[in-house]
Amino acid sequence: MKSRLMLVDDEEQFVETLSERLSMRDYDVTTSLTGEDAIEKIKNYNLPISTI
Amino acid sequence: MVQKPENTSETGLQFFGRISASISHEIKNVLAIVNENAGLLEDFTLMADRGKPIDPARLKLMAAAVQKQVGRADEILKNMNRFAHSIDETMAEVDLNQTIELFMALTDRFTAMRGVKVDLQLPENPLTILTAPFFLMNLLWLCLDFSMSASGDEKRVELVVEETENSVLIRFRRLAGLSEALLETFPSDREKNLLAVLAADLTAEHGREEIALRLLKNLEEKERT
Repeated sequence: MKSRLMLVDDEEQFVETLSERLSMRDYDVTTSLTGEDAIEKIKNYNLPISTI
Repeated sequence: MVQKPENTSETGLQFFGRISASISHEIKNVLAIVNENAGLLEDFTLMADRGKPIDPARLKLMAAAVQKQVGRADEILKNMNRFAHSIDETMAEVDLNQTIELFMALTDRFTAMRGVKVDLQLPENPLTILTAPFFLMNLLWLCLDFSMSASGDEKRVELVVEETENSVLIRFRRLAGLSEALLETFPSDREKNLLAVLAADLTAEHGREEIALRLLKNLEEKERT
């Protein structure tokens, strides 16, 4: 099973690029550009790791 | 020569520090994006070593992303340079439209962080005034900071510049959350000292949901009186 993690940052380009790199390393990455959106997503997913 | 009340230097330094810190944060963001693109490029080359060909279209996109960030950093540094030079001369002739556009670019991150949208309405033609540019931007920041606090749930501020015969009026409108309680804290001594330096007036009425800053077009006129 892939490790799941969430990236939260308001820099869209940064989040997209880092997400792509982590996906290449077989992580299941969820991204958010705002704290509010991140909190909503955390409610719906079982995320053991968050990088903020 | 503009006479400065004592604590305008401290207020000015705080403002300068705040803007400088924000600029350094923005530059760090640019570097982080460039760094991740360099890392991604490295990942692609490692994959190419293992026999997976690199997609030229993908490389083109990455080059464009890096170029975009270089352009962004260039703009940030140009603004930083203009801001740093705004204190070279205490009094200078400036185009108010350009000064306000610079001010908006410098404070864009603060408004975004607070989720406030600022609608800017400037006169069509250049509006030349003789003023103290750094102190003017400092006062504009204090007014904008207050206006964001007074924007209420709407989270929207209209910044409107109007020209009259001898003065200019800078209005911060649509302050849906402006209350008498908030107006007990504003203007404080910080704003009053800057108003004195700029020979400016500030009016605030919660019923009209706006604060208005009136500046002389020629600060030397005040100096002569």
